Amino acid sequence: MNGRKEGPGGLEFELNAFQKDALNELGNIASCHAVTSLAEMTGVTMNIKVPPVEVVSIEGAEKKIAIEKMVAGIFVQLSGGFSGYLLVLFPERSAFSLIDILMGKMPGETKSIGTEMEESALMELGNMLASSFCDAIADFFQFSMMPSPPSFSFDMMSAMMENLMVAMAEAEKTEQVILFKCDFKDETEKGIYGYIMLFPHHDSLKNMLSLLEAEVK
Amino acid sequence: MATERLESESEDEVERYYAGIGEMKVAHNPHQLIIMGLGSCIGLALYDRPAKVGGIAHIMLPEGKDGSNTGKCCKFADIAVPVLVKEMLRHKTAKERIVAKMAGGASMFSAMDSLQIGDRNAIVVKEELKKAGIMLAGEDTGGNYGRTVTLDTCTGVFSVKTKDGIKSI
Repeated sequence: MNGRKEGPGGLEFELNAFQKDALNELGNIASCHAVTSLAEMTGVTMNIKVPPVEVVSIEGAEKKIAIEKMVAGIFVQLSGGFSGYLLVLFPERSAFSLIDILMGKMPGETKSIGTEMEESALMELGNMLASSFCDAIADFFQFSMMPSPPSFSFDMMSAMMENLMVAMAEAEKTEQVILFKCDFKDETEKGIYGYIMLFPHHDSLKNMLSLLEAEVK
Repeated sequence: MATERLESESEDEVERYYAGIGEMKVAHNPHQLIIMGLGSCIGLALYDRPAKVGGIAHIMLPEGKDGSNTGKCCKFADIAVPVLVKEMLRHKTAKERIVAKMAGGASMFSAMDSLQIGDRNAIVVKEELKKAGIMLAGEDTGGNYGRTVTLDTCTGVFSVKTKDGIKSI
């Protein structure tokens, strides 16, 4: 990667304009794929917004998120031709609405995530989003991407993000991650929204970028 | 250095100081020191009751690799503990009166349990406290839930807020 250099805090990198565009496009494709499958499963039409790919540091991420906001998080570890972490987040209210839909309850009936049933319903939904997101990327590059079984948490947003970024910092000796984000929101008033975040390992990202450049040439 | 020292002691309104990741804050009566949304990180609080001075550090990982790290001083437990103690001592505290409390070190996802980041963080913080000769008076570490911690420099109460409620340790 061009801008990759050894800094005092470990590896640091910047993306050039081409790399950013390419990754944005990739994020778009994968997000559409994932959210389409979400819409099919829930029967709710979704609007997708894919914000530009960002390189963020741990401190920077902290400032960008609602720290104590309760979210349902579904975490998947990726291995194979591409490795990293993938996190699907549903803010509290959206998580409750999704449980209503998935379990055939009245809108507004779910007020907590108390049972294992509710937890696994959300976990499966998150897992499905994660898998279709990965499938799209793997298809595009023709490499394998093996998601681990999902794990679930319903807790403060920053506690989850922090845990992942710290794990990444330790393994990769860097305090920056490339964040693919996808926001989706339903068209109706159910107020369902969520995020997909991909934290690629550096080697995988490097590999991905060189494949993208080769594609263009 | 990310510390706060306020000059007038009496008429101050209670202010809240937040320590971001890798940061520390030191303040005295009546202010509050807060770390929000701890996952695998550790919130370490030091308190000197007679002086009513407290300090907190938001610690991220057990060990700074080679000491050449120029980033935030409290990212690594092995560096953060002595640095926070030193900063406390600059604020007219006495080492023999300082007691420590800590919280955090969770593993938010079961798939991350094998990394044991939180557990290793807690172990190194304890070792460093021992080395520094500071007593650990209470802890709430481990588990799989996030925590927000607050040190009240007026009362010395160290409270831990989780999704299930608030407790003091």
